[in-house]
This record gives sequence, C-alpha cells and structure tokens, in this order.
Amino acid sequence: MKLAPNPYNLIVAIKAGKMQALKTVLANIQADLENNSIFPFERIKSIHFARFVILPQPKGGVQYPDYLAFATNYDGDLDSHLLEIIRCPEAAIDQIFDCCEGYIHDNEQAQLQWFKENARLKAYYYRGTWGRKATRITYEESSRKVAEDHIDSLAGKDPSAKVLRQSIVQNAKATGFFNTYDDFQLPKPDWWLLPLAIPILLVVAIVCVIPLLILEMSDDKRQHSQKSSGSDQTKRFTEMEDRIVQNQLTHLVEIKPGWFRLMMLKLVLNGIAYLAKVIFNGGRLGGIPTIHYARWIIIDKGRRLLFFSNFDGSWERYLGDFVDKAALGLTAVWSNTKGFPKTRLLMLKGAKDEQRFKSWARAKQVYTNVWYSAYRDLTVTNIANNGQLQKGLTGELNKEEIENWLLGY
Amino acid sequence: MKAIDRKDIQGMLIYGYGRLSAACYLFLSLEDISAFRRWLKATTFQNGVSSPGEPSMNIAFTADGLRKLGLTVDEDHGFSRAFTEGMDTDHRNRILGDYGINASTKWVWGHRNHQELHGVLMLFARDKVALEQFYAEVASKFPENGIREVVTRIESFSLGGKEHFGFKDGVNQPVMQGLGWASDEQNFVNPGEFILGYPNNYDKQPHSPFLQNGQFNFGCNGSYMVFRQLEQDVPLFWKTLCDYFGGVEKGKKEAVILASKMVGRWPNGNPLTRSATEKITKRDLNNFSFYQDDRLGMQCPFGSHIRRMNPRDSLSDGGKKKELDEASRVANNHRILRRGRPYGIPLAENADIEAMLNALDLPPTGSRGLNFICFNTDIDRQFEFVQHTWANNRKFHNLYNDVDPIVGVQRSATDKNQIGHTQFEAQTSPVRKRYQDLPPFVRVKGGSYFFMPGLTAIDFLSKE
Repeated sequence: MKLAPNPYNLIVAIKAGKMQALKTVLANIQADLENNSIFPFERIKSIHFARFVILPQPKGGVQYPDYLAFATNYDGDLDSHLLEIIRCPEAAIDQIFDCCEGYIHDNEQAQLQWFKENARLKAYYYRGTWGRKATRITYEESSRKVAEDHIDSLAGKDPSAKVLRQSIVQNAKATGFFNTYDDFQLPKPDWWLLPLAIPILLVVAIVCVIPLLILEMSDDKRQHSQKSSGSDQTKRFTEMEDRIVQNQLTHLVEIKPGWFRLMMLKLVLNGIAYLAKVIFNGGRLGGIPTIHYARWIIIDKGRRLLFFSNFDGSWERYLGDFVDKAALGLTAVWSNTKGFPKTRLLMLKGAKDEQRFKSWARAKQVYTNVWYSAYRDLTVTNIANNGQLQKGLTGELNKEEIENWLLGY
Repeated sequence: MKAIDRKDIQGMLIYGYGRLSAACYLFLSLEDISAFRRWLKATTFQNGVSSPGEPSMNIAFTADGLRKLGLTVDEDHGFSRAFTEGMDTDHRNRILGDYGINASTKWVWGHRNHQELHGVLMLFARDKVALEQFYAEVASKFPENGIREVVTRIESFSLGGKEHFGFKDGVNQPVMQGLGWASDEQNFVNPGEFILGYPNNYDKQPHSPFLQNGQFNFGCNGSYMVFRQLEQDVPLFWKTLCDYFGGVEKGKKEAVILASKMVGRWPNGNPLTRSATEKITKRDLNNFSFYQDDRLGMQCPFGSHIRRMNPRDSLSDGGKKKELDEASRVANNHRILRRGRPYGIPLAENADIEAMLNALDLPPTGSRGLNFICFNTDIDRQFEFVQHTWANNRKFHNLYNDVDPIVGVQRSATDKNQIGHTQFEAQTSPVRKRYQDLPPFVRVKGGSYFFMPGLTAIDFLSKE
C-alpha cells in the first residue's frame, strides 16, 4: 500500500488584472465551503484538507510574482485525485484557474497536465495520520458514535467487560458498522545507513560551525522587533480562527541570502522529512500530538519558504507546543529565514525567546483565502483512537485486552 | 534574580488579604482628568509588604482608562494585544464562550460599547460595617475628584473559603519564586508570570509597556488583571444532579458524589485523586499528581474541573520521570494567580450543601456568583489559554465532547449562536459513565481586562 495521504501543491502565477476577480471567487467559496457551486469540497471525496492562498508580497524589498497556491492532502494516486476535481459535475473550477497563467479550460488532458506541471516543487512533509482514507476516518467516527450510544443504553445493567464487548460487536453488525481495515505498515528507519550517516553529519557539523557563527553575529541586529506583529493583520487572522476543532497556519518568510543558508535549510528540511517518515510517524512530531499534516515548500528559486499546517486547537497552543516541545527542530528550520529571533549554532535559542518568536510568527503569517477540512470535529488522537476501537471489534481478545480496549470509549 | 519589589507592587499581587473578609468593587469613569490625577496622588494604595489588617484599596485601569489619562495604548508601546483590544471582541467571545446567554450584549458592565469604564477600585475591610464605613469615606470624595461610578458596585462577603455551590475554593495557588514561601516543587513559577519586570518561566522579561520613548518601564511591578463576573445558578446545579438519581430526597448522596467528580475535589477540598472519601488524611490538599496517582482517571475524571484548571503531570506522554517532569513544566506555563471572591447571599447559611439541598424549592433570593479575578503577564498564554484550551475544549485529554462541567461552555448542536447542553464522562471500570444534557450552571454577567500598575507607575499617571 502506498503512503497516504499525500501532499499536492500547485503554485502558479496569477494573470495580470485578475487579482480582484480571483479574490472574489475565493471569498465565495470560503463563504460556503461544502456546497458552493465553484469548488464544493464535500463532493471531492479524496480530500482530507485543502487550502487556497494568494501569496502576498513582502513589505518593501524584492518583489515576487503574484502567486496562487492551492494545496491538498489527498487519497489515492495523483491523477485520480486531480481528475476527481476536474470532472466534478457540481464544480466550476475554471472560475478559479482561469485567473492563472497558462490554464486551458476546455481540454481535460491539458488541464491534468497543467495541474501537474505547476506542482513540481518539493513538499517536505509530515503526516499525523497514516494510511487512512478520509472516508474511512468519517466511517470510523460514525461507528464509534453508534457504539457509545449503545453503551449508554446498557447503563444500569452493569455487564462484565466480556459481555459488554460482545454486545457492542453485535450492535456493530446489526447497524452495519462492522467493517475493519488492514493495518498500514509504517516505514522503518534505514538503520544500515547509520554508520555511514554519523561521520558525514559530523563532518558537515564541523565544517559549518565557523560560517554559522559568523553569519549569526550579523543576524542578531536584524532580528524581529518584539512589538511589531501588526495588530490589524493579526486581527484578520484571528477572525478566521477557532471556529472548528482544527485550525490552520499559512506562513511565508524570505530565506536569508546566500547559498550557505539555503543549503543549511535544505539539509535540515530533508532531515526533518526523513525523521517524520521513519521516527515521528505515530501521530507526534517531536512530542506535539496535534498536527494532522504539515509541509514546507521552498519557492521562488530558493528565496522564500512557505509553510502550511493543519492542527488541533488554538494557534496559541500550537505555537506554545513548538516552543515547549520542539524548539530545537523548528529553530533549525527558521533560523535560516529573515527576522527570526537570534539563534546560536543553527538550532539553539531562537524559538526559546517565546514572546518574540510568537510575535514573529504572527508577523509572517499569511491570510488563507480558503481552508477546508473533511472531518472538522476530529483531532489526531480521536482518529487514532477510533482506529483502535474499530480494530477491537474483531478478533480474539483476552480479558486484559478487552479491558484496555473499553477504555477507548 | 532581582528581588521582588514588594513596596512598589500593589498588594493584591502578593496577598489574598485573608484578614479582610469583606470587599467591594467600584467601576469608575474618569470625568475630570486633572482632578483625578490629584486624587491619585493623594490616595494610598496598599502595597505588598505585608497582608493588611486595616481597610485597604487597590486600583486597576482599562485600556480606555489609560487612554483617557493620555497614554498611547497599543502593541508598539509594548501593551499586550489582548489588553489593547479588550475582552469583548468577536474572536475572544468565541474562545471564552461569551455568546448565547453569555453574550456581551447582555453584560452589565465591560462590554465593547461600555467605553466609559475606565477603571476598577477594589476596597477591602474586616467586615460589613467596616466596609460600608470605608466605602462612604472613599466615595464621598468622588464628585470633587472627577470620578463617577458607572454601574452599581459589587459587594462581596466571605463564605468561609467556599464558593456558592458549596465547595472549598481557592485551594490551589501557584507560588512565585523569590517570595521565600513554602510549597511543593511543582507549584513554583517565576515571578514574571504574574508581575512585569521579572523573568517569566522562559527566563525572559515578559513584554511590558515602555513609555517616554522607551525610557520608562511603565509596566514594571504591574500586571494584567482579568475580571469576570460569573453568576452561579445554585438551585439548577443541585437539582440537575439530584435528578440523575431520582430527585433530591433519594439522590442526595449520589449527587454530592457526582458533583465532586465534576469538581475533582470533595466539598471540603480533599482531592479525589488521593482519597475515595471526604475524610482528609493529609493536611496538604495540593501535594498530589494526576498521572502518577490516577493515570486512567478512575478517581478524578479527565474532564473534571481541577484536572483542567491545572493538569499538573496529567498530559504526560508516559510514566518516565523525564516525561512527567516535562508535562508538569509545560502545564506550569499556563498558571494564573487567582484573587476572586464570591458575591451575593448564599442559598443557605455558609453555603452548607445539606442545607442548600433543602432550600432548592424556596423562592429565589437574589443573584449570586463569583467575581473571578486573576493576574497574569501574558493574557493569551495564561488566562485565555486556560479558558479556551482547557476549560472550553471538548477534546481535552483525548476526550471527544466534554467541556469543563462547571465553567465550560460549548455550542449548541442545533443553534450555533447558542450555548448547548454538555456531557460529562466519568472514567469507571469496565467502561465510562456518561452524564448527558447538563445545562450551563454559570453565566457571564460582565468582564474586562485591566492593567494594575505598580506604585511608581501610578505616581507617573498622577502627573500631567
């Protein structure tokens, strides 16, 4: 079975004069995510999360082309996913993509080609949930709810654990919620690489120390001023936040100039993406249990770093978890970008400057024009727990296993 | 570490004023600034050198109040965004649960259009008589000093350490490093969590307002004060719980047990985690942990009030010391210093539960509740986090649909603008018990963010 869900990210220039039209179309979609007539997300079953973002220009300095970013976390293979979107009878996606360079709307093969050609940038990716289709996630949640109600109906009868399980299983069969799924095989670390990797990393570390220290001395003067997150801009973000169980973050920042910083960044991102695959694949990224899917993308030929994340709970909690549990890793990434709180040796200090870091994060946050979640009431841990509950409906369990399983309800 | 400058700090930040059992809260509008400045100069505000025994007062200002006094209150000057925007914004209504019956449009004070609210003056005295005398003396000088009370003051008299549902309150309180007070290790926080000008838990100076081109640390020895007036429906609370078990007569005992499960402590404050009965076996009611003592929540449910308000090690990834320590450390970044007091007449004398259960059907005797007051230096990371990520979070502790059974709110499934009924799960063997259809027992009547300046900063405000 292939790894799933996978990240798709289209980044494409917006046609001159089409900016306003595009903004309007996207606002209309956001106003009725599920059932709008342009991109009715509810109909596209292969999507877990999706977003449209018009990437803004930095304040002053270099200007970049105006881009539209469209990103999904999708099930199945990419062609089927894109064709599901292109062919969706209730949709009128041309209204969106006609605003973009090079889009031809009257030929399915040309469309497919265009969607793939403009999505070639690498996503350094993290999954909180592995190998579960969006449809399965919602099925398992319905199944749990049916079981919970059934348990309530037995209140006062005080059945033993064993009898209780039999009753839940029977009820699942009777209500059509008995399907279980194969467990997904998680990738394992390539331990044989270790003897090779350690000396290489050591050499890299030694070679990089001096240039890093020199670069960091000059960086310190340019760190983000702690007070300038921009209240009005922040207010625009918070107006969109905390409406459902999950929240999202789009974040865009310029990479510090020079090949050395870009090289460090790529090194770190490759490292994180690898660890995310083979170590942090149990629903926790460095101790953070709330991230559904996240990705970094280097855009503009190495000049800007784009970050998309879908997570449970509030922004404050998410950023707080970064600081409290994963400061090292994220400092290693963002210390290579402009304005980040001052760092030592790539990954020290930095995000530990908690208030300044949060202020910087807000200052570099980007407004997300459209954001969709296919299961807006479920956390990463809910999804994992539902999987365990579903699995426990079948098979022979001993007394202890049954007792443990029942704790999940 | 710099010693805590108790002489320059208003005393509420150090002491709860336990000897002064009567209090009242005056909501002020400043009508004549020069006159007010003179009054400010001539008035003594209690400092934190010792716990007072004589009538004392403290003062705090809203952002509008500081603006009225000529300050530029914005983020660029180092004020917290939450404070400058105020408690009543659309987004904060959402995360704090201020919609439906809690909507700010129904508040008595503090709502966003209440711009004439400039400050709150808090008076404390030994008893009702002393308080009334003190109030008369203080308020008599208001007219000549350009001060007007904008809403009726709230009076508060001690319930002997209880809140109105009948439970011992204020049992757990974080202790600042540097005061030299005894507490168990998990309970210490750095002073910068509650007082500006000192290192916070990240060993950083919390953001503080700087004035006069950044030369004067106006925030130093001050703090952000959160004030919410929370009305408690005591008859509804006890009736609802008794009804689960066949009414008051039949279900009394069970109702008290369920209420204790919801709170996480027995009515006398004894933590459920430690004891299956009300009998207190260890005098210290705080020296316990959740994960190590009750990992599965069988004694103190995951969703209970105290497990949310201070989860201690409860959210640990595992049982190793390193994991438990990290969980406690992270939880300690969200502590608040509580200084609330109950207001209104209890349903029965001393809020005695047995007596209240017999008084449920008597005619209503006025409103009652808690003047919730807390101090913090980072409203987003402390007060709002506790309210949003712990109290109002249906997903707390990997639950699915439980908010805090005492103070939490969630949206109605049928009408998104209303507060819905909630459920409460108590973990038991072999499977959880679920209590559904709990109505909200607490209602927000008013609220605002204030800034409580240090005495040097008050002196600064008293000058033109």
